[in-house]
Amino acid sequence: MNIVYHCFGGAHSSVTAAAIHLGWLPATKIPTFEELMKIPYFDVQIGEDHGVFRYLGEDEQLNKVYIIGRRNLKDKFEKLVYGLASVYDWEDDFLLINTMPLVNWKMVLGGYLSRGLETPKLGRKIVLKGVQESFFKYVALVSEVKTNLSHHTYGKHFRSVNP
Amino acid sequence: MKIFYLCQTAKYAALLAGAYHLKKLENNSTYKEFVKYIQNISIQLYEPYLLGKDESGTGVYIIATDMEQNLVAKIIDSFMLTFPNTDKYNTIITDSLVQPNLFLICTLKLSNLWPLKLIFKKLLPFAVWLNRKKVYNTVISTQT
Repeated sequence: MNIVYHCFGGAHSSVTAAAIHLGWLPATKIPTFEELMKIPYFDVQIGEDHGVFRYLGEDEQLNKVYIIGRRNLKDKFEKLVYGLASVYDWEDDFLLINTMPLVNWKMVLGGYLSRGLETPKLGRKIVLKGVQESFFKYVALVSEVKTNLSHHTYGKHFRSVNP
Repeated sequence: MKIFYLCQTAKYAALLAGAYHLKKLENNSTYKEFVKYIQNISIQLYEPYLLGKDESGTGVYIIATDMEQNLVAKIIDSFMLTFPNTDKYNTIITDSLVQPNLFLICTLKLSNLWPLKLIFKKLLPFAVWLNRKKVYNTVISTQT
C-alpha cells in the first residue's frame, strides 16, 4: 500500500507523522529539537516544492510512505489522486492521511515564518515547540493508522483518513 | 497516450478544448452549440474525466479546477514520476487557456466573491467563449 501523509506545506506536520510511522522518532517521549531537525525534509520544503510527492521509506509491513504539501486543496487533493490512480489503473491501494487537523497555532505561525517568509531564524524555534506540543496527537494518529492497517480495516481500495 | 486539459474556469475552458480536440465542436461553432454541449456533461471538480478518445486512440481527459491550477499540474506530474506504472512519457498535461482576456480574469475573480458569485458564475461560459480562439490554438499546438 502507498501511504501519503499530506498537509499544507509538507514541511512539518506530514513529515512528523511519517517519521513516527517509520519508527524514526520514538513514540514514548517528546523528541528534542535536534531529533526533529534530523528528519529528512523537516523544515526544508518551500513553495516550489508544494505538489511534489516525497518518498520517505518503507514501514515494517512494506507499505511505502510518502509526504506531500498540497496547500489548501484538502479533499480536492484526495479527489485528484484517487482519480489519477483510477485513470492509470494503479493496482496498489492508496491511503491518504490529512495531518492538518493536528496542527496548532505555533506550527502555523512558525511554519509561515520559517517556510513561507523563509526566515528560519524567526520561525524554526516556534514551529519546533509547536510540534513538540502536538507530538502525542501525531503518535495517536499513526497508531490508529497502523492498527487499522494490521487489521485490514482500510479494505482493498482507496481510503482517506481525516483525524 | 493521454492528454489532460486543465483549466481554472471551473470546467468551461477545459471542456471547450476537449470538444475541439475530439471535433465535437468546430472552429466556427456557435455559442449556443457550446452551451448545449456543456449542459450535457456533468463533471466533478478535480476528478479526471474521460471526455472521449480521438481518432488515434488518445484519451482526452478534463480536469476542472477552480483554484491552484499550477499546483494541480505539478501534482499530476509528480504522481507520474513517483508511481512508475503511470506512463509519464505518453501523457501530456496542457493548460487549456494560457492567457485569458481581461474580461475573463475579472469574471473569475468576481465569481469568487460571495455577493457577486451568482451573477458572475453565470457569465463564466460566455467569458470563456470570448477566448475560444486561444483555446483552439492551444488544442492545435497540443495535437501537433
